[in-house]
Amino acid sequence: MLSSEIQENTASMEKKHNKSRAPDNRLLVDQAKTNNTKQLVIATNMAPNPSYLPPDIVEEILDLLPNKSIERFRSVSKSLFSLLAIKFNASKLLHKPCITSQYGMKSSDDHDLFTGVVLSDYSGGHGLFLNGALHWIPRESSRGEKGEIIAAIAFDLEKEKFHLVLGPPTQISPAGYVSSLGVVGEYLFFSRSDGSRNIIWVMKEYCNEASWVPFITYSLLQFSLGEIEYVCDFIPRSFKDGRYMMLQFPHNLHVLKWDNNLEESDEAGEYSKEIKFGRAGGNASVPYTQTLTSPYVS
Amino acid sequence: MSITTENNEKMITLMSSDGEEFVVEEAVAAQSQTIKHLIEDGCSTEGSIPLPNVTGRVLSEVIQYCKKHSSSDDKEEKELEAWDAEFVKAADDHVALTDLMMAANFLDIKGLLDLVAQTLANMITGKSPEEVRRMWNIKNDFTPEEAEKVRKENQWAFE
Repeated sequence: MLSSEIQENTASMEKKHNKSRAPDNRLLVDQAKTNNTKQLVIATNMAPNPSYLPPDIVEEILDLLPNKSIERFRSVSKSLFSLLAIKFNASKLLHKPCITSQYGMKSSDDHDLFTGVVLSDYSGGHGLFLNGALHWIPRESSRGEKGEIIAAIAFDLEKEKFHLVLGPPTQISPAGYVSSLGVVGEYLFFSRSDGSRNIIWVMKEYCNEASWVPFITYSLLQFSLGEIEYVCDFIPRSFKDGRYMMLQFPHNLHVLKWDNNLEESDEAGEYSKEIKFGRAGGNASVPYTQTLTSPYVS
Repeated sequence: MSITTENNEKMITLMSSDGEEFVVEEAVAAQSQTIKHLIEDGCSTEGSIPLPNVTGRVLSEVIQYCKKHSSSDDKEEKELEAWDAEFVKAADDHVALTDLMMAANFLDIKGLLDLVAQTLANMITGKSPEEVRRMWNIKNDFTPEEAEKVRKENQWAFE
């Protein structure tokens, strides 16, 4: 294909429109391709007008770029600058993480049995494992302007590279802002509290930030007696009989069970129900799984 | 206008923005969700389906892609991947690819859109802002001061 043939700008496309040539050349495609190329030659030296590059097209391409390129391209033009604003905010986090130590175990035949990394400035010491990467929630110093969490930072253990998993859409409230991460099966969960309610989001497709859906919404006042409570930790788990979510409030612990068809859940809490309401002090809970060596609990 | 071939496959006529007509099997045209919906809504029974956003040159490429992808089944995945790679290589440069991508977007052909987006992304990953501007004829509308500020903020990305 000659480059002169394909360099058409939009102005000349419009011109062609108006010409309204009689459509008498009804041909099968393969013939059409060879017979009609000549008629399509429009020689201009102009590349396509960027205003005709629709933002969703540009975004489609940008989504596939590494963070470093995204950040560099912010200086291309003002429209790209604003389009990349969200992505840029997220990629900004990449300044922050640094591996303070890395450790691992190898088997006798030199296979990696276990790799661990410790990050500086990232909360929740241990990362959550999903899709070959460990995931952390950034600390406050790495967050957005209002303390919101834009993304989780992930470290791909195989490629040994950082990437970001953009969090669910933010709705920022000046009140307390608490977020945490969880993993069940192949899903990443993100809990956000804005002071009046807590939403636990699930990412239906890994690394596709458009696939975040609210999974459970709690009105926080519902559980409070005079003081506002928030979800300070949540622990999703899979067991034989289904999937559970432990929600740790400062003074309460809730356990939810949901059916396994997470993929269908578009409405917050549609598949969840409270099966237990108890009081637990402290602010850390762990699910208990019975094994052959554990004490019997009825 | 529907024409029927020997093997009773229903044919659809597509008309490009420059008045070029293409007669293709319905199964091929239906790779495009946009066209599929038009057919379902009965827009194809009289005359051809006009595609005012797609030139004949681009449309013929799109049809090539749709033909290949409607005739291949899952078993031929490897072969199809190789074909895809050749297909975007033949599109030659970013201008052709951009046209193709806009057509894929308008016609809603997800496979083609993803393929071209990835090709373009690979193409620009290592490029400088200036090169990207030149590629898409984008005007640098930053003042020198603004440009310097943005550049300073993003210094790490230029290293």
